[in-house]
Amino acid sequence: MIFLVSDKGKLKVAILGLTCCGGCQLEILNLEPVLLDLVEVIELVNFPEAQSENKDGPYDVAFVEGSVTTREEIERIKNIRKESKFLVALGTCACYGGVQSIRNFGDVEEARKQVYDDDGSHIDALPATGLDEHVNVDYYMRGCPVDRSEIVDVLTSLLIGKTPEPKHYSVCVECKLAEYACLLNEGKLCMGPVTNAGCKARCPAVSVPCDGCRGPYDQANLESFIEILKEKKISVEDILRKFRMYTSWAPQYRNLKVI
Amino acid sequence: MPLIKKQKIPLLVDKMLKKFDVIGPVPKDEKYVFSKVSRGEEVFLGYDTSILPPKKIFFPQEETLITFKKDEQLEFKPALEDGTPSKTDGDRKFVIFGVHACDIHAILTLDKQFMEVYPDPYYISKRARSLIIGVSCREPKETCFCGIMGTYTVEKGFDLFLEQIDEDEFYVIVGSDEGRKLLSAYPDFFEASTEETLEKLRKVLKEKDEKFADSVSITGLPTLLEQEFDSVNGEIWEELGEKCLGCGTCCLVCPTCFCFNVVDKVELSGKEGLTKRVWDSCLLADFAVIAGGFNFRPTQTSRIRYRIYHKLKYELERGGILGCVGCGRCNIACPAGIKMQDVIKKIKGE
Repeated sequence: MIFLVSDKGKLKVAILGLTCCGGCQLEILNLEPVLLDLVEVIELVNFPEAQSENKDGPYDVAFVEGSVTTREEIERIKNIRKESKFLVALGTCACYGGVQSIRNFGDVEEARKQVYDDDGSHIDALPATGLDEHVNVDYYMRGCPVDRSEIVDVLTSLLIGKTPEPKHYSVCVECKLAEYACLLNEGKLCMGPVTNAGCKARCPAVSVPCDGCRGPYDQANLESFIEILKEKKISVEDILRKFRMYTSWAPQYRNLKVI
Repeated sequence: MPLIKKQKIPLLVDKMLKKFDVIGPVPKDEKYVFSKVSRGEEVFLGYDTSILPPKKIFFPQEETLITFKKDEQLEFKPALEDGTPSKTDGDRKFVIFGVHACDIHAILTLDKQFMEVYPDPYYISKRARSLIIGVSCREPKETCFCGIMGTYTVEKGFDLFLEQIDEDEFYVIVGSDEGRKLLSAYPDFFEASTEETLEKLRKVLKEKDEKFADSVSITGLPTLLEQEFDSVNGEIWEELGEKCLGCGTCCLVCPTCFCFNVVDKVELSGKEGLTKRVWDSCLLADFAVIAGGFNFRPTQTSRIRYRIYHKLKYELERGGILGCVGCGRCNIACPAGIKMQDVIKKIKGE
């Protein structure tokens, strides 16, 4: 999908949310230093979190955050897909289902009762999944929340007619380039070696091990990584918990065997 | 040859800072990194090794090559013109103070690559402004294998080299005219050596052979590797491929790895941008991908085998110098615990 701003005028953009905390949309608003430059080249057609006058599609680009968790949301995302030339899954919830997909590993009925007591019958709860269980996604912008610079990079690429290039390597690369000390080698459960880069190793930067919020990169060697963690005497429970934290519903993690 | 007392070194650095930028090993998160210092006492000569090698000074992790702008016409401006440093890069000479012997060997490998095989103005401009003051290691770290690679001493590639012969004394070896000029520019800090210091030096060098040398040598490695490649499914490579996480760390901390990727970064306006190069690693899945998505090295086994071959064979064939200096950074950094010396020993059947 290629756009050239000079041919098409401003890029028509929608920024929409499904089930999530709303933090990734907030990151777009947090782009203050370039926000004015941004609206020079894009038209925010539909952005309910930030403006009161919104229109339906068609859109050139739709950024959709949040996981799909209800029947109504399945319909919504299918409609958004139809109205958009380029669909970006904005954030880990939209890419994989996010933190809330932990509940997919238990009984949804049970969870409903626990949260809403007996009065939860009106809640239409499905397993929490990423957008791509229902529609095709053109770009996965991982992270909890997403990295602001990636939002600008993706828009810039689309504006100049380039397909945005995803990164196919781990957080370790960015960690090493920044010359941070390796936390995994200190015996900490750092998910860096299997987690997709793009965050500039922002947690190791402050000596916090990577929690894997960006999910696995496509050729992550999970088997060897889990072996290494076990050799470091990290318990199977801790390992499983870490994999279940942010992107448990990622295809590589869904049926992960730790033992 | 002269001598310098340990307590005079920070004072010498302070003095040098008036004329040069000084970069040296400084502590960071219980490790060490090469960093610009503003006071002599920041330089910690007793460091074991640094996370990244001094390579980053001449060949930074990320470096702008060209900037471009589009008003009525598209204009390109190289970050360097004719290999001379641009104003923004500064033209002050800098001293890298405290480089270990293995890392000096590594710089010689990079010089070969960036000054002879493919002359690179960006590298050359920084290298031309650098002075290197080496310092000896007294004990090898468990992860070091300079003994195998024969790099625990060095004969060239430095301006001065400080060989520690005592708790508080360094024997100063002069490696260049620039080094000689440094001695005469700062005469107050050095003193003449005596017969006694020479004796100490002899003893230290002899002890060093005992502490550092390894029974395994690199002789015959290229020939053996030739044979190993024939058995593509050789168990060494399969085993390594299964273990390797593909994180690229070994290349990123390597003092001789010189591969980079070139990327464009365009501003949101679409009217200006830059072309930069960033370090790359042959262990990453995308490294050998070409048009159409075909990958020359689609498996981790093929990628790690390539790295070992590059270090121990291809580099020798191309530049006449091995691509590994035994600094041990890859051993320290590899989360999977893959050790280069184990690979060498395995190939050699030790």
